[in-house]
Amino acid sequence: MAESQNYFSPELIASLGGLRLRAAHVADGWVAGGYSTKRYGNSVDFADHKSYSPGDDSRYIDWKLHARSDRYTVRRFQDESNRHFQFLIDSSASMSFRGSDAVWSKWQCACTIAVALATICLKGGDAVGGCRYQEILQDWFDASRSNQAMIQLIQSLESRPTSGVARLSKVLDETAIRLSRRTCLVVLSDIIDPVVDLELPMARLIEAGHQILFVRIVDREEEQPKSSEVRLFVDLETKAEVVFDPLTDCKSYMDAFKSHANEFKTIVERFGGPQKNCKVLSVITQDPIAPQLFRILDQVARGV
Amino acid sequence: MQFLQFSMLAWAAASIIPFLLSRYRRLPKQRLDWSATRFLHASAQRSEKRFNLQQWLVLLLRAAALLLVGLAVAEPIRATSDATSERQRGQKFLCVIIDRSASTGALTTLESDVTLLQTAKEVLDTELRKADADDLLAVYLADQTNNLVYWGDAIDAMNKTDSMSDWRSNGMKIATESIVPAVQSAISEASRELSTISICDVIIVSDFSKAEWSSPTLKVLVDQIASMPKTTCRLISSRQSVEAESVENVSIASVRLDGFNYWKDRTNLLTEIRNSGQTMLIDRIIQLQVDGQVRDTRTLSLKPGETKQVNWSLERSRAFDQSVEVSFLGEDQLEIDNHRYLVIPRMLDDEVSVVADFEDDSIPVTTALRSLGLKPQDSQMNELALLKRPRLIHVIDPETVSLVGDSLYSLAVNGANLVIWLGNRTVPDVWQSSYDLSTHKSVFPGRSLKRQKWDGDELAEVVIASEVSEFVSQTSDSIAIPMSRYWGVEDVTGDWLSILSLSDGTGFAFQRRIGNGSLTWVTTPPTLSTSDEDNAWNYIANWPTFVPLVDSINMAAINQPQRNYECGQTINWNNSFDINESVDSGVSMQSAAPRLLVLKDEFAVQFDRPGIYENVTQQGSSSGSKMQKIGVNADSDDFQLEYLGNESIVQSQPPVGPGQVLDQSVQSNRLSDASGLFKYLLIVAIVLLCLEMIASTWLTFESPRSRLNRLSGRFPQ
Repeated sequence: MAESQNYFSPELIASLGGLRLRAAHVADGWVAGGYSTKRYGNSVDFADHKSYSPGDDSRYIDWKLHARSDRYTVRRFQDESNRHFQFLIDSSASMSFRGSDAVWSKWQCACTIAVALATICLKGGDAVGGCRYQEILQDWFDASRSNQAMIQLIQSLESRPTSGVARLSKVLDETAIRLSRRTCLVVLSDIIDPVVDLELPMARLIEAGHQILFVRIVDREEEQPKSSEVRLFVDLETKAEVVFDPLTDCKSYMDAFKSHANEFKTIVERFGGPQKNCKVLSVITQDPIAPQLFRILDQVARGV
Repeated sequence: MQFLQFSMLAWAAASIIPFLLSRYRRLPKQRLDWSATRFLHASAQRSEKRFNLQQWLVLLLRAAALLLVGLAVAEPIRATSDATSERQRGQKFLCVIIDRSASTGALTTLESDVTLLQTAKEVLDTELRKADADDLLAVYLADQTNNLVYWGDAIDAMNKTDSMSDWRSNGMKIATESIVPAVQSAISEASRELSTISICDVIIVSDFSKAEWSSPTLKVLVDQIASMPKTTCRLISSRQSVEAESVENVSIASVRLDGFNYWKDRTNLLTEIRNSGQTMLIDRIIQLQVDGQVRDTRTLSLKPGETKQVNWSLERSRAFDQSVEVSFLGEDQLEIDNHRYLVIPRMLDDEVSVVADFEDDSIPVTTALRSLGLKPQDSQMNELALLKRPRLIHVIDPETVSLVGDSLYSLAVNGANLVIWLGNRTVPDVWQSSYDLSTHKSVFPGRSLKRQKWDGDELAEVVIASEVSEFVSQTSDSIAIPMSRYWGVEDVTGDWLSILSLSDGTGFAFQRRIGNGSLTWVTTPPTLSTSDEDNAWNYIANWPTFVPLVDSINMAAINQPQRNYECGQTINWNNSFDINESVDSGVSMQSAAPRLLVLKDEFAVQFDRPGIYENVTQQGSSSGSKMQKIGVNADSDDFQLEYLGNESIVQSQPPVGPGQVLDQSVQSNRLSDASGLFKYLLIVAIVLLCLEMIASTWLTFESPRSRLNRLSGRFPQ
């Protein structure tokens, strides 16, 4: 559990506390008072009591409590619309990449973000589910509002090291089958898969009413290789060897990398539609995590 | 070339190393795990091709460098020198060339009675004793006939039972002194014998005179022998020392120019050549050079101690000075003993110069000279004109003499005629009060200056005389001013000759001799009297008889009694110059003037006057071991003399020492030539290795800007 302690390091918690204050001011009230504010509605799930005030529906007056306390109290129920979050964390070998000046790998960064988000979501009363994936989904568990979800998530992330090849398209297809209700899907991955393979799965998920938030974990050195001499690049997933001449290949590589990111972003925006049910955010492993996490939370608060 | 040597095989094996290195170490050493290599695939193919190409290039460079180093180290050509190792395998052909030229008749030392030829034969006997019994022997005598005097078994020669014993005699013949024909014959014979003989040994026994030793033909032949398969060439010297035929033993005893003068077009030059050495001189060349051009050559032979006379008839071919040089050429014609003499020919019309403070055209004398058809040199304060050594110099303003006095004097000593025009100065008041007669006495020490009429003109002339004394005081002779009636001063020295007189018998042009030249004073006619000297000469121009007067003066100055130039004379020039000194001729004529002199001590210095400022070449002569060079900067008119000191003319010294085997030196020469190639190969190999290092490091073909960006950690965006 040593690593799990890191996910709740004092620094991180302190930064998250700041986020809660920020969320309290969101006008929607959806996250007012902090993301932990429950939403009340007409479901059968009892939430809590509140003193009666004029205008409250008299049907919800708790007469039994009135008999005991001689006060009018109204029963409130949880809102049916509380969101379900499903975290998909890429655990392929490429996620273990760590740049020369990075303090952690992409995998560590993704795990931290996933746990932090899950913690916030649980505090906010949302249901959290999750899994890790490579070519297929692994350690899948459905969304739940209980703290057990957090335990399951952490156990899943710490169960095995990164390995294998990621097949996000296949994973998204499988996810679409498993999800039974409207869910906000949070995908934490470096997303180096061919974009064209992702179009159809993404379309299916959006069409099913799900929301997708792609958190693209990027090491800055991936964007700008810092190798000053000819090196042999070994692919972490496929183990393919490629001679890399920084002076001649660097620009071409960066162009391809950037083009891929832009292409993916374009498709995401296209499939997200006016409701913006699909978004992509990039997280740089070298950058401070708190601001980036805030951006993700902000995006989540806005409904992806 | 034999490549089947251990070293060559080792290097051939080593040449595999680059291939192994290239095979197993092609890929970059540093591997890096990367997550997004698929974005590299587009450019990776290009990089891979380029990388492979670079690797192949590096491989080729490595292999070539290694191969060249191997060649340089193995020196396969040296294998031919191991031909002697095959000596034990079969019969040997011993080919001996004995130099029997006249020079080999010289004694090995002055004290001994052994000639070089005898020494050569003793050396040959020593070599024969080393021969095997079944060896073949061929003996050539290199003389005028180049006879093959013996061909047969070496054992007979060793036992001195051969029938042809002529080569063993001490007879010396007058030969061509070249062993080249004999060597050529030996090569032909050796080439024939090589078809049946396993090894050939060519021995050349000679005194190796300088001509032979420095003969390129002989070198080529020796190299040719050495390059023949299974053949060695040995040069054996029979010479004890090179002193026996040194040209220093030859002297040109005396030279006399019979009746020569520079008014005549033809004269005779008589030269005596003496052989003071112990060696007979055969067909030596004596040549006569005039102004650096070989005019005539004579061939003569001299017995030891013999003296012969050579007579030449000289004809003047051009104006100005002539350099006459008699040279005795040594046996190899590189060793020279020469004697140089100066001949001053008759002046031409345009050898007239005017020295004045004015513009030439404004000088009446110049105008008069032009009227006479002469072309005076534009020598207005111009030392360069004087360096052309005019025969007649008109000095208009005697004040100028103080600036170029040395030059004028040196010219006069060497035969020039100075005409000094004395103005009619009238500055009585000023000069009379400031001038002291004691100054006059210092100007003319020991001479009395008889004063008859003391006036300003006289005093002015005295002052002028003091200026003129700059050059006249350098001689031990003293002069007195040529006195005229007008000035009332007598010629107390008696050296002056009145050459022109007025109608009343008063002389106004006086002349005396200085060295080989003359000094002429011309006074202003007494009828002219102005307050300004320069204007006085302007008035002279209006004098109707002035042009005839100038002509008379010219004729009087030139038409002196004939005088023979004292050739070979040593002139002790007080104002000697440092020949190592670079002199700016534009600064002072006084320092440049001595260069016009000819002889000094034992070595002669002569300038070819037309070439001084045009194309000065080596005109200096040498005597003994001294040489002299003249360099000229045509732009600045500066010239520089350089003394080379005791530098020998002989380019190379022949080997000395009887019996000295020189084959090693020949071999080393040959190998040194080959080593030059190997050194070249080695250098090329090193260059290739450097290129390989550069290529392996920098073959990314990066631009300087890219390199700068890379080193500074920036990357293209």
